[in-house]
Amino acid sequence: MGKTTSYFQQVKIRVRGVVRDRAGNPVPGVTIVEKGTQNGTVSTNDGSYAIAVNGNAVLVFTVVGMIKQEVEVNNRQKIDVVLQGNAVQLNEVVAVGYGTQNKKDLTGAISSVGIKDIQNQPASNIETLLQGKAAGVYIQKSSGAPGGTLSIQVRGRSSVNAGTEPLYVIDGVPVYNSNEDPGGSSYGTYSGTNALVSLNPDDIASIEVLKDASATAIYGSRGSNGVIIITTKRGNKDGANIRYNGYYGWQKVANKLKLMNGTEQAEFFNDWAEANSLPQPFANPESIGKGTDWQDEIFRTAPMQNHQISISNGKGKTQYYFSANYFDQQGIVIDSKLKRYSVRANVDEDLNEKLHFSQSFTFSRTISNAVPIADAGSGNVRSAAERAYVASPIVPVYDSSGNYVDNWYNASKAESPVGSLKSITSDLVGDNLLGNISLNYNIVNGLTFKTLLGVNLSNRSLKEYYPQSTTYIGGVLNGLGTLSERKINNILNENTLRFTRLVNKVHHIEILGGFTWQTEDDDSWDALTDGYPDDRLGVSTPGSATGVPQVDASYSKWSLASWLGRINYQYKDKYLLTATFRADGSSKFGTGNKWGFFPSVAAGYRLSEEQFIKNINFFDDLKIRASYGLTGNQQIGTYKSLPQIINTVTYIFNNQLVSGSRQTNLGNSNLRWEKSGQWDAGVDASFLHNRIRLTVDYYQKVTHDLLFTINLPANSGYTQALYNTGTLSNKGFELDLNADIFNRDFKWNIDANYSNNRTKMVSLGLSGSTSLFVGFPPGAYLGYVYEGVFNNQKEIDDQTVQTGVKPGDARYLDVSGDGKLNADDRIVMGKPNPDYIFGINNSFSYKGISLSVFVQGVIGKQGKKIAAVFDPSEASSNKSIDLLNRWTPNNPGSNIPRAGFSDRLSPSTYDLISLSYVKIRNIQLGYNIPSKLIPRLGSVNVYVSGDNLFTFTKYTGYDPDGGSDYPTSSTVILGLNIQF
Amino acid sequence: MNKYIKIAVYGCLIAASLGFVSCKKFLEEKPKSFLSPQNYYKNQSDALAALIGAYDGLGDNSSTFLARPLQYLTWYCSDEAYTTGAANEKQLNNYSFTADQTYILSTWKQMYDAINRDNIVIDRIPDIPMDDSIKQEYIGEAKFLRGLEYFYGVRLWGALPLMTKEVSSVDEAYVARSPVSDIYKLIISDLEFAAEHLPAKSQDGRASKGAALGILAKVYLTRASSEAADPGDYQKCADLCEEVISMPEHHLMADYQKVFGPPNEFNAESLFEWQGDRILSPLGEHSILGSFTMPKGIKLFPNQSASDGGIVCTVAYFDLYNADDYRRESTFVSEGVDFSGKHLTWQQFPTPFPAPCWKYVDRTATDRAAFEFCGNFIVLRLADVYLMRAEALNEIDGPGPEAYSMINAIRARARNRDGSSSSSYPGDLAGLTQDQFRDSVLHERAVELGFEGKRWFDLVRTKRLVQTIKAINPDYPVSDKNLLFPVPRQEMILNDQLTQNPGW
Repeated sequence: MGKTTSYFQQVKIRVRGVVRDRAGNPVPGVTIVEKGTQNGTVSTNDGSYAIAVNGNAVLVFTVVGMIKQEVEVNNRQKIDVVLQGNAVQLNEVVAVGYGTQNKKDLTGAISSVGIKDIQNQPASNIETLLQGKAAGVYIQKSSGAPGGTLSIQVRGRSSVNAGTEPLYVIDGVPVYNSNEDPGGSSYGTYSGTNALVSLNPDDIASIEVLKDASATAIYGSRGSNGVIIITTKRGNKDGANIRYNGYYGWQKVANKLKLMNGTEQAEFFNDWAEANSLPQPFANPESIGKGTDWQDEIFRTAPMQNHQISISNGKGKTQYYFSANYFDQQGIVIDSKLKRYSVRANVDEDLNEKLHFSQSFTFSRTISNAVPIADAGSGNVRSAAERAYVASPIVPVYDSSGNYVDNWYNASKAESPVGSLKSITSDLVGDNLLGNISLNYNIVNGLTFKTLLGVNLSNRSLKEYYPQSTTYIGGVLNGLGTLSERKINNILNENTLRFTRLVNKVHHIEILGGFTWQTEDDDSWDALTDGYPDDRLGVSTPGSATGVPQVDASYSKWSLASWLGRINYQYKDKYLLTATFRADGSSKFGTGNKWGFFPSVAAGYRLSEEQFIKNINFFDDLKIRASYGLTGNQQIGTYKSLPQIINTVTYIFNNQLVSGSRQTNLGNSNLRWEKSGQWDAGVDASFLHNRIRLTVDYYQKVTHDLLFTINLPANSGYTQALYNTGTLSNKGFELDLNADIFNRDFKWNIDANYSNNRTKMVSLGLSGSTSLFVGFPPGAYLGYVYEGVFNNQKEIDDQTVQTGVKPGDARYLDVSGDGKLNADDRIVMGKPNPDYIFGINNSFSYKGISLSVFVQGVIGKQGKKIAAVFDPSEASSNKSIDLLNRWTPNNPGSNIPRAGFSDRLSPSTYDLISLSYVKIRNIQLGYNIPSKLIPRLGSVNVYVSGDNLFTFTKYTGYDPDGGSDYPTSSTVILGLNIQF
Repeated sequence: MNKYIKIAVYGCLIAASLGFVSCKKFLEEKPKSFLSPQNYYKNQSDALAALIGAYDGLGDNSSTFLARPLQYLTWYCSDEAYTTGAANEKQLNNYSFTADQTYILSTWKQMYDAINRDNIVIDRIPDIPMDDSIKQEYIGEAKFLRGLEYFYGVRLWGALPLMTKEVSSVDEAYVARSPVSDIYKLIISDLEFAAEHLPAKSQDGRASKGAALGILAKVYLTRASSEAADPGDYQKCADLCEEVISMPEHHLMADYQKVFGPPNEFNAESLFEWQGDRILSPLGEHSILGSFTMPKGIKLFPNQSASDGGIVCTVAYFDLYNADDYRRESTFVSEGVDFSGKHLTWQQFPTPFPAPCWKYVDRTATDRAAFEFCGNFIVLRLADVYLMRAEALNEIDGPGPEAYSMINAIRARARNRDGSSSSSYPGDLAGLTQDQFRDSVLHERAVELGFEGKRWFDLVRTKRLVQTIKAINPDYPVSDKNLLFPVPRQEMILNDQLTQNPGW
């Protein structure tokens, strides 16, 4: 026997190669066995393998979800194999932290969003496209402006004062989508350009959302808000590929407010003036008529367009993907727009048999011409949306001599909405370079070393100007202008060792270990001055301005150093075990607490590999899994653990001003991570020949040691400190369902998700907070219970709680029952989070025609009405037509108080309104033009796509999804994809 | 080639490991946009800057501590002032306030903010390499400020959390109240240290030996009638007063009017002042005491365009002044010309009360900033020391010649008016019983020190607060609990070791 073996060994040769799927993606975890022997190996994460075999052997490639393939070696030393899938979903490879994994082998909760789920939809940024696409990911629009920000929460809000946004890992480089804009004027109203706008959505190949601790703990101190891994497109083995895709479309405001017309407002003003013992301003309201619809003056139908050309090739040793993109979105508010130019170069090359080189780079320039999206200085500057309802319909846009009308009855800090928007300058130019280069070295069979250098460089400059002639604040200050600039350098280095081995054909082991560091410098300056000589030159002439210049500069830096490790163990493809560990050292924390340790463990059991399940002959795949782990959050500013000394303090000695210093905050050398412990139990199943695929998860996430801005006893000398205290919990249920109802010529696929999440404060610890309540989520608040109006004097006389009220005034509930109405009568109200959210995408196709309808909803959330529009007590803005039904002596049965009522208490249940909605978020109709009609082109697809077209809601503002400062839009685009 | 790659790879690994060794440095934060204690308190100018910061803690930007809330508490809660101001000021005025009162909270907060700044100077300066005598002087100034601030605190609230070290971590904030006797011990040792190390004459605005001795005298006088009384307190007070009075740097001004107002600041009678000056510091250190005490609707200076005011004098307090008392016309605007040129008496003013502004405005100024916003708050002046000595001597063994000489010196100065003409009022006192003399001192203090932030403390020290308020406004719910202010409720919520004062 021994002799025989040695005889065969003499003729063994080394065979290596790469296993890929049909799409050209590498397939890891493929078992490669020399047929008829025990000799075997497993393909690594990049699909490569190496094995020493007999020169005339047959290699057997097997992996779950793909068709087994046998290949004769025939003395070849390099054999690349393409495996065919046998079950569409099971062979899917998904990105996990620091690697990829077969979907079937996952033990953590990860949602994947593929390219087909996000294509052909108009969006400047990737987050917009994720809305409603993944269970457990709750996305709201903060602003509808071109390049506006969104708020993303993965599995609820897990922090109170620190950041709640997930970590993004773009081609391996971790980045936060934090604001990278330079500071504006102290009237700063433009901040909040979405930093991810610099990333061109057309370049994205796939998105994975890492949700449970097993998946996120490898990102340690940055994992507790979830991690979104974005992978961009790369060249593949299919060969040369030239593509054009582009669209052109039109946007208009999704919903207009229902406001009073001129006559109606004049009548309201008259009633209000009477209630305030003022002369009635409008003798004949009827004569005013409809007046001006300021929403029509401020909002417009705006075009948007996007054009992209990409070239990719993957034959031979080098694979590449190059793209160039131009995106141009005019805003639905006059004078707002965003442009982006971006290029990308992703290259992979096998330098030799052991060394693989890879790089991904994108450069983009975004140019944003913004209008105000936030109120500043109590009306000194108003947001675009607010202008539309503050202005009075009674006055025209222009007076008889053609000048803008900039005053009206009871106007406060008025300016012409149109004139000011058209003349305010806010030009933000941002350059961003994001990418990495890496080397992958195969040290010995199954052991590879990878080193990666990543950069994220951002450079943004802002010019802001409020003209003297057309803006209120510019008029007060004789022109106000700001110039500012900000540069952010983020550098990353990762070094990992990966070891994979199949032991005795049944034990599949993968071990990953590494060290990484990342550091960021943030350097900015800004210069603000007023008293500009000429509006026409505006901010370009700061040197001639007569105001006192306020020039400021700031610098900050943070560093993070980490060790990480992961072990994946699979036994017979049946039992799965994953353990991860990360140690993070962060500069942001106190001297004694720089390092935090984040372990996780997860187990999976593929029941479908058991004979008794196979006997049922129903499940194609059935896996139960559970995980527990610790993750952290470090989204706080820099230097928060240090006490700060300012030297701007003055006093007077000998009748001269002298400068002093003072310590402004308490250092906290014990400042440390916010820690979330999360467990998750889930089931992945597919059945009916893989036509129905289901994932359900239940989780509980408890965040301890919250990074809390606590109120300190004043005897400390300070009133606030950042301190780890308090507990917040999130728990919820998630369901992802994907079904191929029909899959022949006529295809119908349903992709649906549902999730509910409950957030509540478990403990406030030492915070001393008066705005958070144990048992309620952050965002709930104290308010009065509104009980309608006093219809007549008798109703007033019949009670003693409210004194000094008149018929038509508001009634509030004496909750405490003490016979008085005071702060004790407030109850906790408001539902800042929805009961549940869902998304359902139906896609149909028949031959070359495709139709998809994407419905998305948020149910059970509450917000506040727009106060200025719904409060009858004051008259400094236009009002909702709902207030036509206000209490008047002739309309005594109303539940809306009279104009100018005097006993308003706010907030109260009067202001409360449901933010639930169901939207037809997107509808797409596409057609693949048969290639015989256009023989020289590879394939041509044309489509029409409508976004945010229909909303079902009771909300009375612009859009329950957000955009209260810049409304959201409805968009229709016509698109074209050509592949040569 | 592979060999080189291997070397490169292993090199990277080793470099990464080395990187970890130097992690400590990698993770250290070195701020560049602000100073931190690690790179501060290194030299004499840092020490001086920190000391200036401590002085600034007395009051800043017309809004904090001595500059506003403390005056609201003591003026409105005594029989001196009425307010036409906001509801939260009126609560103090009509005794309807609770432990939620905003100015009680802000006074508490700002006092401790100031004390922490003092503690930082006292803790940090000893390690700074600098001239030792200057060092002791700086520490002396900080201890003077700390003693003064705790003295205000112990009179407003009684027992207090006794913070004597810079607070450097959150855990150190949760401190229980120390007994009144312990607070006084710290105040006395701080002021004794200050008196020992401060020069007799310092820069204008800085604490001097006379200031420290004078405040210390008041500390003993106050403690003498408190729960922490010591038998020797009155004697110590009398002795300290004498020491101050005998200092060549200090004497009574001949003309009462020349004691007050921006042109006369830091005169020989003044011992310590909090400063406001809108001319020197348009945005920072300005005083609102002048603008708040002016009569609404009355024109007082040439370029007057605004009609400030809000704090007026109660009729009862105004009536404490004899019509012939020079100090009445030196304190109040009781008649004037409105903006239309009409002459009005205070009864005809838009707010029909006398306006106590003359001690805080610059009568010589022509524009608003100089006229209204540059008045200092005199923390202590020599006339107060005279009257303290009179009070203390009377308490020891009744009114002797020395006690009479003290109070009569003050009365004589008032009688002398501006020197060009004199009046017969007020005449010298003689032949009083101990009780009569006690009443006379209190009355003398009222008219001599009116609207100088002393009255509430005098009424509490002499146990006359409740009867005095009740006599004017029988409806006000004033009682013995009002001899102390409540500990702010918010502080009690934040720090469960705090206890409330009786009755609150």
